[in-house]
Amino acid sequence: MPRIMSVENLSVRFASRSGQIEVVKDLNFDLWTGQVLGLVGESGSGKTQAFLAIMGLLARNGRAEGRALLGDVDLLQLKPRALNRMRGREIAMVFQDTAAALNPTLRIGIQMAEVLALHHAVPLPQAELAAIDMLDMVGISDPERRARCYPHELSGGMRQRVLIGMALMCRPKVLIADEATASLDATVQAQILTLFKTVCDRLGTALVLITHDLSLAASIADRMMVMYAGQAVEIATTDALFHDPRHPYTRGLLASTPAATVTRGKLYTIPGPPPRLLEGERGCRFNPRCPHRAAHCVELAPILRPVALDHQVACHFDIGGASQ
Amino acid sequence: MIRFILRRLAIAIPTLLALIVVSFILMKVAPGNPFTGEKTLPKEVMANIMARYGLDKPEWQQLLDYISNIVLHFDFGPSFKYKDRSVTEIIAQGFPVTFTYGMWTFVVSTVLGVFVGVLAAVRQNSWVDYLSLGITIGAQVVPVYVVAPLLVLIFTLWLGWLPGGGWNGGHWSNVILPVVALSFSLVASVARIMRSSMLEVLGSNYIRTARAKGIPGYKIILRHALRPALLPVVTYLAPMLVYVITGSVIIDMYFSTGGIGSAFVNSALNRDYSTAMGITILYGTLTIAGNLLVDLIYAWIDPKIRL
Ligand SMILES: Nc1ncnc2c1ncn2[C@@H]1O[C@H](COP(=O)(O)OP(=O)(O)OP(=O)(O)O)[C@@H](O)[C@H]1O
Ligand SMILES: [Mg+2]
Repeated sequence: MPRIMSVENLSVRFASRSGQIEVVKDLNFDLWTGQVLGLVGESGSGKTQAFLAIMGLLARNGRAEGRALLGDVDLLQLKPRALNRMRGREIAMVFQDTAAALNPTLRIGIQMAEVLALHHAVPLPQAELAAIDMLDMVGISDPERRARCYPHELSGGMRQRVLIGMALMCRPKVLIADEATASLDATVQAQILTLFKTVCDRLGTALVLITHDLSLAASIADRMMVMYAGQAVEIATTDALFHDPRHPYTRGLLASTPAATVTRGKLYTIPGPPPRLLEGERGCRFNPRCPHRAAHCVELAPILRPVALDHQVACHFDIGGASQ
Repeated sequence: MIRFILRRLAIAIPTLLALIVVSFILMKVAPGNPFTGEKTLPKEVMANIMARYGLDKPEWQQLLDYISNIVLHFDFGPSFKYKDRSVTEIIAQGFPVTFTYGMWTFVVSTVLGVFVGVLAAVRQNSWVDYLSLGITIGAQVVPVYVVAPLLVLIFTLWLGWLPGGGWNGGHWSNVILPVVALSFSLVASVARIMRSSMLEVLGSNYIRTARAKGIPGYKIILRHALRPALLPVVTYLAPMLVYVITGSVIIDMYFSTGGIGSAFVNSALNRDYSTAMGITILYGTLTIAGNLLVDLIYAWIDPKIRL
């Protein structure tokens, strides 16, 4: 199966009053045609910023380093015009904070059609017909009428689906869905996930599903990436990650999800302080909270290394097998 | 929309009536009458004059006559000062002048102000931004009566390019200086309003969405950012109208353009009650119409506002 995108040594730094903070550090991963990568990690672990960096949408005080190869073009090196030819067409993103994500002064049909008209030189009226079809696909009833609505005339869930549809208008090769279904009710969520799956299967789109919902990730992802404090601590097939987690943080994360703890009756939380992201700190970023910490964990940062086929972990120990 | 306009008119009419009544009362309580001058007129002559202008009738009757003449005949009565001219004539003579340079002032200040504001926002923290910021902060506080003499000094006395006054039937060379003088601080205000609202819009989520779609920068400005960013400028149009009306008084005095502003001042100085009231009512009508227009533009820009 061909590789669509490969991200190499991606780092994201923000200039702040307390110095440079490195919210994403040396991220390496690949995306494959038609596959779903589930991305989990606690709040603030850099999931969103990593992909904003790839899209060239970091805040003004942010800088990205490394490479993000889509085919053989490095998105991080592109000039604005070349980047604009990729965004929306080859790679699209549904953002996490959807408040005011649609232009309040334009009808949604136009906003959706505009992408298609821009990238595929389709006349706008024709593109609007395609937008109506897309509204139907994301499960919005009476799409002809809704297409003529302004954003404030739709419900929050509908707006969310408009944004999803908008990202799919040009059939992108890579789709980043950042908590895209979090605000939707279960039936609609299932419908959107099915749509995602169909798009991936039919068009070979590689989907990145950023979520806090492990069971949702488990149900659709082919592979999983776990981030902690800006770093990938474990990358594995979904099966391996849920049944044979190797990193202490992954284990903590799995243990702290309600589904995994019902039998135990109480919610496991990972003890210890939240991570610090200041640049130049040594050691493993998880060490202050790690139950397996040893002296060299404080001194030396572990690198991501393969522990099995299609399974990489960033930990000095190999705590696989029975130690849970 | 039609209903909205009708509703606004229904509010406007009592407002105007109230304006008429209040200014009528103010005129009446002011000491003296238009014909008290240096030389005292013989009693019979005075009585004659009072009768000619209807000033001998009871006051409520005067008010009713006044209102009905305005409403039915668009007649504000005769001028108390210029015996051979009616107030309507005075207005008809001055208003086109004021309207011409007033309109141009609106066009110049909004177009130029919006342009400068957008440029400064797009090039935030560049020399363009700082330069325009510096100039606009300065320009904003310079009053018309300082700008006007300076302009005449430069463009009439030094360079000799433009006439320093007169109207000349609205020849462009006579229109330029009044418009520039009146627009000077307005351009600055609009530019500053536009800059900050544009910056806010550019930082909003839907602009990020547009960028993620690969829409090029200039299209984002024109198609996605300009319209929502214009809202505060539209709000500013109402105070702008007031500024133009009051500023026109100074313009007319300084450039001798013969607009409605000079007629207004003269009427006040001469106790020409009927003219002063006529112009006050005209200003009131303009303000109400201007506000209605602002609301219509507002609704056109922001679909959330239902009329
Ligand atoms: N403009 C900025 N300047 C400084 N720090 C920033 C900026 N934007 C984000 N950050 C920091 O970057 C870190 C990573 O944020 P990010 O949004 O990627 O988290 P996340 O993993 O997506 O979290 P969540 O699950 O809550 O969405 C956070 O600590 C955040 O405070
Ligand atoms: Mg996030």
